[in-house]
Amino acid sequence: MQEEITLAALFDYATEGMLVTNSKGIILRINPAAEKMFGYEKGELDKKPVEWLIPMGTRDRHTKHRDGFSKQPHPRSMGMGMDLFAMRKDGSEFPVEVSLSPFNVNDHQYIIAFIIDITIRKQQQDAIRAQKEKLENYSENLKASNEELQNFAYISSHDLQEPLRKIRAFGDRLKMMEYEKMGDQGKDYLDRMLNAAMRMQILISDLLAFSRLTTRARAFQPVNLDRVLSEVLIDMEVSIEKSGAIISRQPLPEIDAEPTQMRQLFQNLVSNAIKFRREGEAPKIDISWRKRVDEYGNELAEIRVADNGIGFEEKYNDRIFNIFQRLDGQKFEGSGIGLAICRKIAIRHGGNIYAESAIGKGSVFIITLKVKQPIPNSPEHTE
Amino acid sequence: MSISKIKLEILIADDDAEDRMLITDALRESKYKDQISQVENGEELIHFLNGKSNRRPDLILLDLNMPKKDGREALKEIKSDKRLKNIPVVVLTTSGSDDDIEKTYSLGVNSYITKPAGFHDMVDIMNTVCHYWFKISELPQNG
Repeated sequence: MQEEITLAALFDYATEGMLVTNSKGIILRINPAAEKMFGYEKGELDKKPVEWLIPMGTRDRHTKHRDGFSKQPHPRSMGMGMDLFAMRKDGSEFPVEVSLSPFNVNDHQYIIAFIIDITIRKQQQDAIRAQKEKLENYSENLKASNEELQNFAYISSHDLQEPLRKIRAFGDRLKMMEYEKMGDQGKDYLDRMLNAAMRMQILISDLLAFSRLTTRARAFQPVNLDRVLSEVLIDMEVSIEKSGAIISRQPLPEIDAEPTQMRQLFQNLVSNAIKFRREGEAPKIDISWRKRVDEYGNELAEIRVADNGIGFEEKYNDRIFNIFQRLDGQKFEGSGIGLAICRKIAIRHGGNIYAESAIGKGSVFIITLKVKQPIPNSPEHTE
Repeated sequence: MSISKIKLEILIADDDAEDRMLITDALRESKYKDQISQVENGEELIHFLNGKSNRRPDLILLDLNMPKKDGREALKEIKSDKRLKNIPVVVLTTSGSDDDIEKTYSLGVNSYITKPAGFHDMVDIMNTVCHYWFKISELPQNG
C-alpha cells in the first residue's frame, strides 16, 4: 500500500511528462506534467487516443508505428538525433524526446511513455550550431585574407625590387662615367643615394624572405637538428673565428620540420649572439635542449640559445620579435627581421619563441618546436 | 688568339628598354668586342632568327616575361628547331623562383641568370658568360 502511494506520487509530481496507454493507443493515465506540457486541463485527455498529441501531418504514420510497436514491444526511445514533434491543444507544435516501455498486467498490454519537451535544448543546440557556423565562416575568411596578405607582401616586395634594381644600376653607371667630373657635394649625394638604395634592397629582400616562409612553404620531414646546427656553424666559421666565439652545445634531437627553416632559425640565433656581443669580450654561446609536453599533450623540443652579450631591457621582450623592429639607439646594422623570421618559423612548427634578458647580462632565446608533425605519405626526402 | 680580338655576335631579347640599355652597356664594358642586336619580344626573336639574312648570333640573352611571345615559348621553339638549337641561350630574368629555374632548364636553356642589382655585377656576368661560351665554341665540334 505504502509502495503504491509512493509510485502514485512519483507519477503525479514528476517534472517529466508520463502517460500510459493500452495497446490501442488510448490514454489511460496521464500525469499533470504531461497535461501541462500539452496545454490540457486535468482529466481532459483521459480515454482519448494518443494521436491527439501528434501533429496532423504525422498522425497516420504514428498509428502504423504504434501498431508495429504493439506486435513487437520492446523499450525504445524516440526523437534522439531526429526531429520528433508533438502537438499542444492549441495546435502549436514543439520538439520532444519520447521513450516507450511496454509492460503487461493480467495479459493486457500497456505502454508507458516518458515525454520531454526539448524546445529549449533545441534552441540551444541551434544557437550553438549557428555560432559554430559563424566561427567557421569567420576563420575561413581570416584564412583567406591572411593568404591574400601574404601574397600581397610577396608580390609587392617582388615588384618593388624592379625599379630599385634600375636605380642601383643606373646609379652605378653614373658613378662610373661622371664621378670624377662631379664636385665633392655631388659625389657625396650620389654615394648617399646608392647607399640608401642598397639599404632598401636589403629591407625588401628580407621582406621577401619573410613572406616566403609561408608562401613557399614545403612539407615537413624528419630533420636531425644536431646535423643542421653543425652545418650552420661550419657556414659561419669565419665570423665565429673572427669574434673568438666559444660555442658549447648539447646533442640536439631529431624532429619533424622543414630543413631549410631550421637552418635559418639557427643561423639567425647564432649570428645574433655573435653580433650583439659585449665589446672586448669573446662571445660565449651555449645551445642546449630538453623535452617538454604542452597543455595539449604534444611533445615539444625546447631549445635554449644563451649568450653573454649586451642583452636588452626586459620591456623589449615581445617587441624584438616584430618585423623591422629595432631597439632605441641601436647601432647595429641589419633590417631587424631575423627574430621575426625565427618567430614565424617556430609558430609554423607548432611552437613559439621567448627571450629572457637584462642589460649587460646576456640573453637567452627559448624556442619550442613540435617533435611530431603530420607528414604527407609521399616519402619525399629531397631538399 | 687574344681575347680582345674576339668578336661575338650577341642578341638581346628583352621587352624592357632600360634593361636592354644596361645589358648593352655592360657588354661594351666587358672584355669582348661584341656586335649587339636587340629585339623586344619572343615573336621578334623568332623572326630575327628565321630572317632572310640568315644571321646566327653566337649567343642569345633571353628575358622570360615578355609580351606577344614570352621567353619560354621562344626558347621551346629555338630548342626544337634543328637549325637553331645549337645557339647557346642564356636566360637573364628577374625571377629567381625554383619553379621558373626548373621549368626553363627542362626547356633546354644553357644557363639561367637572375638580373643583378648593380651595374658592376652585370659587367662581371657578361664577362663570365661571354668567356664561357667563347671557350665552348673553341672546343672541337663532334656533331
